Amino acid sequence: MSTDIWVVVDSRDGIASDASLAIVTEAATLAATCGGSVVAVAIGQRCDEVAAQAGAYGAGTVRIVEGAAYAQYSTQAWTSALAALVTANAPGAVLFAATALGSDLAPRLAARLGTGLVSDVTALSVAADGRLTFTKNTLGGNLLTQCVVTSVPQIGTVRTGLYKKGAPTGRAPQVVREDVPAPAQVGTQVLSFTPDASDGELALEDADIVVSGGRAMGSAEGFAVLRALAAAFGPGAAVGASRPAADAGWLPTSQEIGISGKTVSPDLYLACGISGASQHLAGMSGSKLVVAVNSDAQAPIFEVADLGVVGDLFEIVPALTDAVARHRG
Amino acid sequence: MKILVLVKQVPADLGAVKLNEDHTLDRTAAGVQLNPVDKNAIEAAVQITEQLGGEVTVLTLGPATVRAVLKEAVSVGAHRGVAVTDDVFAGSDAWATARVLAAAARHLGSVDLVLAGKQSFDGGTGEVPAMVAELLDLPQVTGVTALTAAADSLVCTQVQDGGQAQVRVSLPAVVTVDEYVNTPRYPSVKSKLAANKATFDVLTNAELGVPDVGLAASVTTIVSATRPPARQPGVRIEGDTPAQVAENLVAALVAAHVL
Ligand SMILES: Cc1cc2nc3c(=O)[nH]c(=O)nc-3n(C[C@H](O)[C@H](O)[C@H](O)COP(=O)(O)OP(=O)(O)OC[C@H]3O[C@@H](n4cnc5c(N)ncnc54)[C@H](O)[C@@H]3O)c2cc1C
Ligand SMILES: Nc1ncnc2c1ncn2[C@@H]1O[C@H](COP(=O)(O)O)[C@@H](O)[C@H]1O
Repeated sequence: MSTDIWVVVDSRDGIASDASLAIVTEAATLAATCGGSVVAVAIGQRCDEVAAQAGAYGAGTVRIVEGAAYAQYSTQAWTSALAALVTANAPGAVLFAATALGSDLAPRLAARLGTGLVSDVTALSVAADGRLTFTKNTLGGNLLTQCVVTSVPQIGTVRTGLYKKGAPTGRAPQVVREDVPAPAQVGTQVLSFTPDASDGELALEDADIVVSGGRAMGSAEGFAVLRALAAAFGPGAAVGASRPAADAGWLPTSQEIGISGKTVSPDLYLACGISGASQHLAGMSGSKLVVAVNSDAQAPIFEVADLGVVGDLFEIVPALTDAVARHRG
Repeated sequence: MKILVLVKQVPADLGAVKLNEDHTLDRTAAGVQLNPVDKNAIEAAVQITEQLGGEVTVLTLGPATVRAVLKEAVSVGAHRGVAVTDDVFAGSDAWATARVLAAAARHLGSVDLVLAGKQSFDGGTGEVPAMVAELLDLPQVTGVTALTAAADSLVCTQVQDGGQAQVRVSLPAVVTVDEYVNTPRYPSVKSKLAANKATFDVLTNAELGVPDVGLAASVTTIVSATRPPARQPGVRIEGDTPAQVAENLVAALVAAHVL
C-alpha cells in the first residue's frame, strides 16, 4: 500500500471548487506526516486549468481525464475512470469534498472497489501505522467517533467549510494525462444546468463569518440589514438563511443552512431570528463561535449560542453594524 | 411500474441512544421511527404508481422491530412490505447493509425503479443507496428535489454544486430523494386499520445466502466513540440601549478573537 493521498477535485468551467482545493491543502499537511505525496484527480473539461489550481494548493501530481464521455458529470463514467486509476496506482487514501458531487460519487466508487468509506468527516489525522483516522459526528451531534477504513484505499468525504484552502504557491504540478475508456453507455443525461443566482458571491462554505437570518427576517428586503452587517464585517463574511427564509425565496436555496442545505463551519456564526431547530443546527454546529439574536429568551438557539442577545433583531443588528464598522475603522 | 422503496428504521430520539463500553450503541431507550425522508421516497413511489400504474414494495433491513415502519409505509399507500431481519446482520456498516439489500432486491425479482431517502437521520450520509446501485449495476441520481416519471425514464431536478440540474435517467435506476420532492400524505383511520392487519414477508440470510455479513463484512471500524464535550453555557450580552448592547457584543467578539 502506498501512502499517497489522492484528492478528487471537482470543477465547473475550469474552476476547481474551493471545497476540494481546501482538502488538497489539508492532504498536503497529512502527506508530509505519513511520507506520501498528494495526487489530485481532475475529470471533465478544461482540466489543465484545474490542474494548475490543484498544483498551486499543494498537489505534486495531477492526473487528468478528459474526453467526450466526460463532457458532463455522470456517476457511472466518473466511477469507472476513478476505479481504473486507483486500481493501476494503488493509493492509500482517496478523499472527496462532501459536496453534492463527492457525496454522489464516493459511495459508488467505494462499492466498485469493495472498500470502506467514511462520509462527512470533520477531522483527519495520521495514525501510527500511516493510515488515516477519520473523525465524524453522528447521531445528530450526540456522538463523536473516530473511524478507520480497514480496506484499501481508505475513502473519505470531508465536510465542507472546516478546512480552508491555504495560500497558493507558484508551484506547477506534474500533469499526467490519463486515457481511460469510458463505459459504452451511461444511464443519465444532464438536460440543463441553471447556475445559482448568487454565483460570484463568496460561497457560504468558504466564509469566515456567516450572518444568517430566519423566518423573522420577514421578507427579501428584511435581509438588507444582514447584508449591511456582513459588509461591515468585511470580505470574509457571507449571508445565509434558515429553511423557511430560503423556502420563501428571500435568499436563494443555495444559501440555506442545515440538514437539507449547506454545512458551514465559520469562525463566527451569527443567527438572527432563527429558533434553533435541530435540522438547522446540523448545518452550523461546527462553527467556532455562535452568537444568537432572538426576541424570545426561551428560543432553543440560546442553548447552543456562546453569546446571546435577547432583543429585536431589527434594532440590534443595525446597531451592531455601526459598532462593527466603527471598530474596524 | 414496479418500484422498490428502501426504508430504514431510525431512533426517534437521538439523544437517548446510549453508548456501550465496546463502542456499540444501545438504542432501546430511544424509540423508533421511519427515517423521515424515507416518507418522501414512499410518497414519490405511490404518486408514480397512481399516475402510471404498478406496485410499490418497501424493503427494510433491521432488527425484528422493523415491522412498525412497514406498517406505516402500507398505511400511506405502499402495496407490500418486506423485512430483512436476521441476527447475523447485526453490526453491519453501510457496505455490509448495501450488500444485503442488493441481495434482497435480486431475490424479489426485477424492478423498474429503486427509490430511497437521501440520508438517514441517525448519522448515515447517503452511502447505502449508491452502493446498492453499484451492486445492482444501475444508474443513480441522488438528492433529487423534484421528479417527473415516464414509463422508461425519470427527469429529476438535482441540486449540484453551484446550481440546479435537470437530469434524465433511464430505467431501471436508483434514485434518492430529499424532503423537498413532495409532501408525504397522512394515513387515514381506515388505512391505518388496514395496515394493522397487513402481513409482511420476512427474509433471513437462509433465503439470501450473502456470504460475508454483519460486523465481519464491515470495512470500517470505530476506534473510539465519545460524547462531544458539553457546551459551556452561553453568556448573555445586555445593555440599556441597542447601541450599548452592540458595543458590548463587539467587545466580546474582540475578546474571542473573531473580530
Ligand atoms: C426533514 C426536514 C428538514 C429540514 N431541513 C432544514 C434545514 O436544512 N435548515 C433549516 O434551517 N431548517 C430545516 N428544517 C426546518 C426546521 O425544522 C425549522 O422549521 C426551521 O429551521 C425554523 O426556521 P427559523 O428558525 O427561521 O423559523 P422559526 O422556527 O419560526 O423561528 C423564528 C425565530 O425568530 C424569532 N423572532 C421573531 N421575530 C424576531 C425579531 N424581530 N427579532 C429577533 N428574533 C425574532 C422567534 O422568537 C423565533 O425563535 C427542516 C425540517 C424538516 C422536517
Ligand atoms: N437498513 C436499511 N434498510 C433499508 N433501507 C436503508 C437502510 N439503510 C439505509 N437505507 C436507505 O438508504 C437511505 C440513505 O441511508 P444512509 O446511507 O444510511 O444515509 C435511507 O434513506 C434508506 O432509503
